[in-house]
Amino acid sequence: MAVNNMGSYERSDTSKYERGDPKHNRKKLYSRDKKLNAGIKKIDKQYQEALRSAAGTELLLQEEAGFLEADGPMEKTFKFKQDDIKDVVDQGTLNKTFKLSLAQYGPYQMDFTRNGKELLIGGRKGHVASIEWRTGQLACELHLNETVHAVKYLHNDQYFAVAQKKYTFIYDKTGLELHRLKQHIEATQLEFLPYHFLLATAGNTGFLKYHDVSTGQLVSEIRTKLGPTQAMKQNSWNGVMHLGHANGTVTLWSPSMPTPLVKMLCARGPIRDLAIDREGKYMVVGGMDKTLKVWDLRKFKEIDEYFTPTPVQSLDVSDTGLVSTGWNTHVTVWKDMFKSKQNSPYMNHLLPGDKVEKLKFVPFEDFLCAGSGKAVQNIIVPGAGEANYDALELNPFETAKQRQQQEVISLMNKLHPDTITLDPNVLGTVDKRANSIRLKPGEISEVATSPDAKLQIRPDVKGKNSALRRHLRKKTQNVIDQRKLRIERNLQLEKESRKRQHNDRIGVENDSDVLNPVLSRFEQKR
Amino acid sequence: MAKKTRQTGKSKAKRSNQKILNAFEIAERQENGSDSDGNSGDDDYRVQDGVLDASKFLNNAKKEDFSDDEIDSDEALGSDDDYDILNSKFSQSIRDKEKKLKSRAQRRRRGEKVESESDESDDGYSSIDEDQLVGLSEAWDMDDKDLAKSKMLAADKDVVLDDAWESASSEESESDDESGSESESEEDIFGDDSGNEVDLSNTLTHLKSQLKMLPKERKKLISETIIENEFSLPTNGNKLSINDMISAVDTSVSKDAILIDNEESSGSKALDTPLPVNIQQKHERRAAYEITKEEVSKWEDTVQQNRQAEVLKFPLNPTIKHNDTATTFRSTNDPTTDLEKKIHSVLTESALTDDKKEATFEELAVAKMSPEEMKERTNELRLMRELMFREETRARRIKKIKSKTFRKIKKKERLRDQDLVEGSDESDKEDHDRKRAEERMNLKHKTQSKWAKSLIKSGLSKDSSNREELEEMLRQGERLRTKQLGYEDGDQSDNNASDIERDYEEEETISNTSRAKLGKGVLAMDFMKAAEERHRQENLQEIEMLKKLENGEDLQQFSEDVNSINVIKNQGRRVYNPTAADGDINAVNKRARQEIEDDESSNLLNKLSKKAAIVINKPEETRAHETEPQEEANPWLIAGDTKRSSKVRVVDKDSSKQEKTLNKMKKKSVKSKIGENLEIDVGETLGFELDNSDDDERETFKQLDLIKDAFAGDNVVTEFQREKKRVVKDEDDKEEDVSLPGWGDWAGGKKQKKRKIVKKINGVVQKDNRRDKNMKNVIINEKMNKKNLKYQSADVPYPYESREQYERALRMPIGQEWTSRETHQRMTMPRVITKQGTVIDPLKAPFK
Repeated sequence: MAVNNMGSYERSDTSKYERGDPKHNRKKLYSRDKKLNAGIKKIDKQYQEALRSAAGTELLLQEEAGFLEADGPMEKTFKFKQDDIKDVVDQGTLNKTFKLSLAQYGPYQMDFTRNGKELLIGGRKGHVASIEWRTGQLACELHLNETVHAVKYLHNDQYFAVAQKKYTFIYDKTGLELHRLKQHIEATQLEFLPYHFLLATAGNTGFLKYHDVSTGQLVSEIRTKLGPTQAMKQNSWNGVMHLGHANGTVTLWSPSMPTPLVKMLCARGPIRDLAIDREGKYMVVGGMDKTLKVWDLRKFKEIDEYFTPTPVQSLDVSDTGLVSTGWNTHVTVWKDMFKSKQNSPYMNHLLPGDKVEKLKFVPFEDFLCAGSGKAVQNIIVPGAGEANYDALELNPFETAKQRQQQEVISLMNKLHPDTITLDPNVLGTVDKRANSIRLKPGEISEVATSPDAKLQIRPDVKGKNSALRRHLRKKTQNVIDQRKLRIERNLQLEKESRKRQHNDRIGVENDSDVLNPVLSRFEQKR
Repeated sequence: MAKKTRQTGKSKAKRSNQKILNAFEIAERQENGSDSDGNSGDDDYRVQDGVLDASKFLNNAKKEDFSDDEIDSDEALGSDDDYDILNSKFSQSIRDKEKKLKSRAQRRRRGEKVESESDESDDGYSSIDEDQLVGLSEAWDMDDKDLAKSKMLAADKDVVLDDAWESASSEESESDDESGSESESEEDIFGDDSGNEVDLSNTLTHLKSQLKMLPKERKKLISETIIENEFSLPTNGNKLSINDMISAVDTSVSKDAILIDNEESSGSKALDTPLPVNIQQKHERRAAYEITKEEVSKWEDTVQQNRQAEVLKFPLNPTIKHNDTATTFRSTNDPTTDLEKKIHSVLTESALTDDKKEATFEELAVAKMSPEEMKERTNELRLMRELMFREETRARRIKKIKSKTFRKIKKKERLRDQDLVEGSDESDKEDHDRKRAEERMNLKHKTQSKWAKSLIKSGLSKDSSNREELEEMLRQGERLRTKQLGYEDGDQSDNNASDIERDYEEEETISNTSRAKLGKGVLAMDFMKAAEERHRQENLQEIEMLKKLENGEDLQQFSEDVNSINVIKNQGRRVYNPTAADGDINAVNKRARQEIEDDESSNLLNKLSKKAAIVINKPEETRAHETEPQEEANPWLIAGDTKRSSKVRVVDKDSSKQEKTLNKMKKKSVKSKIGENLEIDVGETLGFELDNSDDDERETFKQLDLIKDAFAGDNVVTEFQREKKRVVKDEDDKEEDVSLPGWGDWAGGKKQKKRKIVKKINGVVQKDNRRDKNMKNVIINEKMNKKNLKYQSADVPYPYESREQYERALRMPIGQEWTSRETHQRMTMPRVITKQGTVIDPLKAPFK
């Protein structure tokens, strides 16, 4: 065993890496069982070591995210123009800025691969292109001659899905049409869950459909019953889909539930767009009623409310928590929006004579890509990208070999659609309804045998006082008439039959000489 | 008769080997009565046996002869002699009885014969044989009733037999003739095979002798009254006491015999009965178990250790192999290279390599001492050691005193001493540097540093992050200073001066007495004594001072005249420039005073508040207008959030309750102000180009209202509320009436109370337990997601006892995506690792 491991040192800031519920009842944590206690203590020790070790890895995060900083109180960061920024940034960054003037087929939607290497643009009028944007290499370009509502890369740059006029299609890197997803009709929104390999589509039909792109199976189709879907984004923390609807509600969906997990009223008018931060803690929703609301997804509580001069067209949240809003010709970037209510934006950009269609932060880069009516362009937003990337997870400088290996690994680690829940931490835990303490063998049998006494319906028990008895009782004892005789006989019969029934019930054989009712009439009457 | 003949014949046959013997001899021998004659009467069956045995050696003809003989004998018994008597007097049964009796008598007689063989005459014996039947019958006649007296009868019978001897002999003579002829014939028959005959006779005699013995034993009457025992002796019912046995032995020997216990001492004590076997075995098993347990428990530690080990690597204790490279240094005793040899030779020549071992005991000086001397010496040494040890501990205790004032004084004193000692000669540059560094270190974590000063001066300390840093620095300084004082947080024992003093006094008495006894030695020498005395004085002085400090007259000392203190110290030193020293001491004193004062107010809180006060003063003058603008709602002009600037006082754990509450109230007020703002603040729109003029404000107001108006028709909110209400109702518990409609109802006017059968249906969640109960615009679906259930445990899995334990154990994932590589590898390490190709020995027995 290594003596000098990272977990063996005391570190000050391990709280960031803590997991689970810290405020457990200590009494419940330890038991009288010596062996179990030792085991728990061992696990606790391992946990502490893991925490320290994790804190120790911070050493590897060499890069720091820097933001625009103003000199003095009079200078405002939102007043910096892109040109000003371009003057001072390094050549490498400069090289990455681009503006594609595409006046003919706009407005443009776009999407990046998860590692930010490739850019996929889709013009409303049927222009689709996949570009390695850093080098400017065009992978493929398609003219579909059909309305394009949305474009989306699948797990890597090899495949992409395009939501067209009626169906959704899947193309490969060269632009070859691979599949026509005939189940996905009139989709306007596309999302891809990379860990589940699920392509989610929603659109004018009001259906949310999940399609497993690794097996080709339609996993589930859910009827939202809320009309055409206006906006759709995924919560990357738990894989839950957030759908924005025309009645101002945002609904949260999992493929395993036919009803929404949560329904929130976020705006008075239709939802224009929404965005969720990387950690799945906050959601920004823009509505037609010119509101922009920040929601805390852990408590489902509205934190802040902002007003936009015109309804928001597009929203996005960067890895570092910058919120970009596109409204009309403006692109506004907000910083620390989740921390406190902001009075002024972080950055501002104007697209003169153009209308913002789609905003998307470039993964691992300090850029914001804006698709508009006539162009697709990169805007420099300092501090937007995650500075320290995990190359084993997403590698912006991925080689072909690495990509292939990553694909295999991710396919092997593919998660089942049923694992999508609002709180992924419940997976593996004890069922909420189950007993929270382990029952001993005796107790189990006790629980199993005791019936739910309350629920049992008891039959009505007839009173012993029948009319015959009553008559007998009423009549004087010494008078014996015809009726009394008959009554006595009947009572006798009744008694016998009751006895027989009782015998039947308890399983005792009745006398075999008893004739069946048909023949009993011939029996000698006593 | 025939019987007799046979007998004689047989006797003849016996002696047939002696062919030389003549008939006279034979007759004579018959008359004298041979030893074999005594057997004759009783031996019908025995003879037969003998014949049967002998038949191996004889042929069938002989056998026939013998069988004939037997028949004859029977006949003889029945007819010849006893006939009259038997027929006339007794019935058959009696005869039988008599037969038995006869046989018994015969037996008895045989016994008699054995006894009286030596003394009785031969004739008498033969006559007995002769007259047995007659004598018996007569005896029967005389006394036929009493069988028990048969013994006596036998004695009488002898007499009777003697009487009847004549007749018997006459009869015998007749029979002799017959037998003689017979024997002759027999001899003829046997004649042809003499060797066989010899053998036969031998065997016969042998057999007879053998058979004679057997029935004797059988007849023995054993009447045992004693309990059968291994040690019981055949004493014929008489008690055999030990004394009887001892009497047989020489008395002198018996006295000395220890194994024989005297009757008095042993008394009638009986030995305890041994325990039952099963209980004995149980005890044995228990003992064996104890032994085995002990044996096994030797392994306990090893097994426990291995069980608790996170990873077991086999082989458990691998032998570490070092790869010795060519460069590895090896120390060998004998020189190998030429150079080494050369050097070695030189060394040996110059006698530098002395191989002498450590001094042996004989060589030590102690060896020459007498034991008394040695004892004394060791005692002396022990005492001295003890005293030194006590002094040491005392010094340690003084060192531990945590009173800061005391420390300061001590330090000052030391400095003064140093100044006096080294102030004159400043040659010690290194020491000087060290002191300087120390000084700098002391200043490092105070606010005197350049950075801190600038920070405070520029008012940057107002900024939260800067402020935190500053505080951290101060805290660090505090920590370091405590460290410098030589104790860590935990072990500040609070020894009082008086305590130590008492200790001192107590010991003094001991040391005085012991010192007197000490005699001479190194420790008894003058200079040692002096040093010790000095040391003691120092300690006492410190205690004195400490006491003073405790009493509160601390600072006076520093204002005292300098020289007076100085003289006592450094007695052995001469002071060359007292004036310079004075100046120094004054400075030192001043500093010490300053520091004491500082220390009194050295709580972090105090410091902080002091600094904060400074901070407050400056910026409030310069930016008085800036603390306000929060309320002014002109956010576009101020980029930086100035909210925190007003909060100058840092509220942390140390701060008092009052402060906290104050702070809370402040916060609340600020919040409420903001809340008020929210409704009317226009600046919160995303558009920032809007001017802040009143007209515009109105305009935006209008617009907001317009928007509200525009979406008023949708009544999304009410719809949402309605939906929520419905969902709450749907998912709540329900009560259902399961009674059939119409049953139990009366159609008549008089309404009877209907018997309801109500079934409670559990809903998804009760109304009050909903998660979204207090959330205004949220509906949370509380339905169970059945598809998720397969990823959950139905109940708490085995080793864990509660949900908390289980979930706690689960919380750290082991995948390398979520943990560091190190953690991943540790957590996925197999429990047992075996090295391939190595032999794994079984656990070795522990060292016990």
